[in-house]
Amino acid sequence: MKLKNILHCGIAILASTSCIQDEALNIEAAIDGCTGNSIQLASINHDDKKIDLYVNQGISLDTLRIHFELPEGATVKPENLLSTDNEPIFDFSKNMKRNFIVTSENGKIETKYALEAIITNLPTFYGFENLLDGTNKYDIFTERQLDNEGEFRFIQWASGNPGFTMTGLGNTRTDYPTVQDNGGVNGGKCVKLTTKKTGAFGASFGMPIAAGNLFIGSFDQAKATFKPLEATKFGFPFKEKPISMSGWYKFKSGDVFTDKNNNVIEGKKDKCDIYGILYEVDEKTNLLNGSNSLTSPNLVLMARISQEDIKETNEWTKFNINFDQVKNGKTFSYNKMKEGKYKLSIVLSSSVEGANFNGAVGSTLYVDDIEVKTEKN
Amino acid sequence: MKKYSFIAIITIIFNIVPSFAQKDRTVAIIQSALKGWEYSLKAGFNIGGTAPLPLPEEIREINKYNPGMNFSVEGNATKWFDKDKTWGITVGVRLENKGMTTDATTKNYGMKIITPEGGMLEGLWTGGVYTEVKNSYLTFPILANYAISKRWKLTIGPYLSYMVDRKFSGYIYEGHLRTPDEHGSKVSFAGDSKPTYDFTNDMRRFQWGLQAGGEWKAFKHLTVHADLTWGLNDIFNKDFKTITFAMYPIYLNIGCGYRF
Repeated sequence: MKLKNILHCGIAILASTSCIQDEALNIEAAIDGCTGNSIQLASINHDDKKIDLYVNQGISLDTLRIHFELPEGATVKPENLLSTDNEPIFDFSKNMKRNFIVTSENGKIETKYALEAIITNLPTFYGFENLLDGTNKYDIFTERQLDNEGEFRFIQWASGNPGFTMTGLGNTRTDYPTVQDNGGVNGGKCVKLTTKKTGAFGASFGMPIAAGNLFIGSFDQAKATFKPLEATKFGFPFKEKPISMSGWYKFKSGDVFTDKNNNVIEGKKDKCDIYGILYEVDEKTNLLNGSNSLTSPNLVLMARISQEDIKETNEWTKFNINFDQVKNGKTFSYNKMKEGKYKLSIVLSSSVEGANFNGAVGSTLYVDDIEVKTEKN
Repeated sequence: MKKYSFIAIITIIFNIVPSFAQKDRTVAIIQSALKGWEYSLKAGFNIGGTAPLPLPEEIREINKYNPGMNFSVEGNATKWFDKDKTWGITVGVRLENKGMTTDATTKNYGMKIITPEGGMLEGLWTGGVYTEVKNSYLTFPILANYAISKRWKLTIGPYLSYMVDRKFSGYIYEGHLRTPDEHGSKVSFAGDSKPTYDFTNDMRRFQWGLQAGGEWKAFKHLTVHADLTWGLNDIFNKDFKTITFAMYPIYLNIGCGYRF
């Protein structure tokens, strides 16, 4: 009798204090993505709270439509609202750098971001001499140049480095798979890509290695662990017809080739990969990614180093590959080019099957001075 | 291994009990009984939770809860102050497990995923959290006794616990981590992506709380008891900031005992 009472009493005390509370309003205040018809690429630096919006030449900057991807319930406003703003359309014509403030759902957390609209065309020469300023954990390559016509060209290269931060193995910038290195072909800098182990964290997701990669496009960290192929988004609008791509490389395979389950494949040598693609965008496909960059029906032209031609060497070796028609029925059209329907990407990887996590740890690819020859018609 | 040693202790204790009984009390026990002393051995199991109180707003839903099997063995001595044996005090020593597994849905729950290399990703987790708590304690209860009848007594008092063996770990699934804080970037985990976490070494060894319950004498030597033990200090160290709220072990101990 008494025992029962005590039991009931205990359970009642526990029950009365263990109720689920009312849901609190969200405290997250961040910008997870920026998209829009005129925005080709948004490069978000979460550490510095800077967002580069790459916009096509020829679009009207006074009416830039931005769709912000925000945490649940969060809102975003320009720091100084202009009379010419008409949310979500913002005027970047007077000042191409504007601050935006994200406020969390509960109104208590604010984060300020500096957004910069960058009108750009892709450069056609890549020297790997420059890195993005700021306190970055890893190297972010940029190319900035004035072309023969005095036109400003800029690109920030993307890499899998943001994904590598999650392994906890990136203590210094040189621990990352993609780094800048001395000893470029003409004495300057170059890019060094190394296939690295990802430790227990990567292995637990079936990604035991990370190939060093560098590409024109963007890396989507939110997809890095569960859809890694889709995390690498390739391509940037390009209003020229690429004819060929040349450059210099040095490659050395790692000793032990392993597959995605970390099984050793005896006798297999690793190869690097260097390719360029031009593809057509349509309503369905705006960007190619690691899962379809070599197979998509939207591909038009492709230049790819032949696997047989890759030499293991300690000397800088020249490559020169042509952009050939992809045999899928699509042909290059100057009209479509002028309409801005084409995107170009260049992809470098220290392990050719790195996207599928097959490769040899230690495979190292150095690349320098890539030049894309084009025709503008 | 630990489980077996635990079972071994229980077995030894239950082997000793009958051998005492066969001798129909030693002279020493009779003598001390005359001076108001009483001894007993108890065995039971703990059912409850290691939980924040009240549940903080970060925890949105408890999807699953499993109390698990948590045994306890205790030896204690009671000194009765009066002839009628109405008031007394008990001191004891108890070896016990307190554990549970839970599966909860959280929103902005402080989380730190650690890799064996020492790398980590810290931030606010919104999504599923699976937690396994398994702690073994050496507990010293100091209890006031009040006998309300020949068969019934109530006990209440503080206990001091030393955590001998500990575990507080689990994994997260289906959701996103905002890292390193609410201003940071979003990393999503879905499907088979289930990073683990381990806060075992952030738990404090010394814990204390209150115990209250009742004991019923079923036969001459056999007793049945139910005791609620309520932890009053946070199971985590002061400098552990990842989980922003305190957690307390709150368990009900039910079992039987042998009174000499």
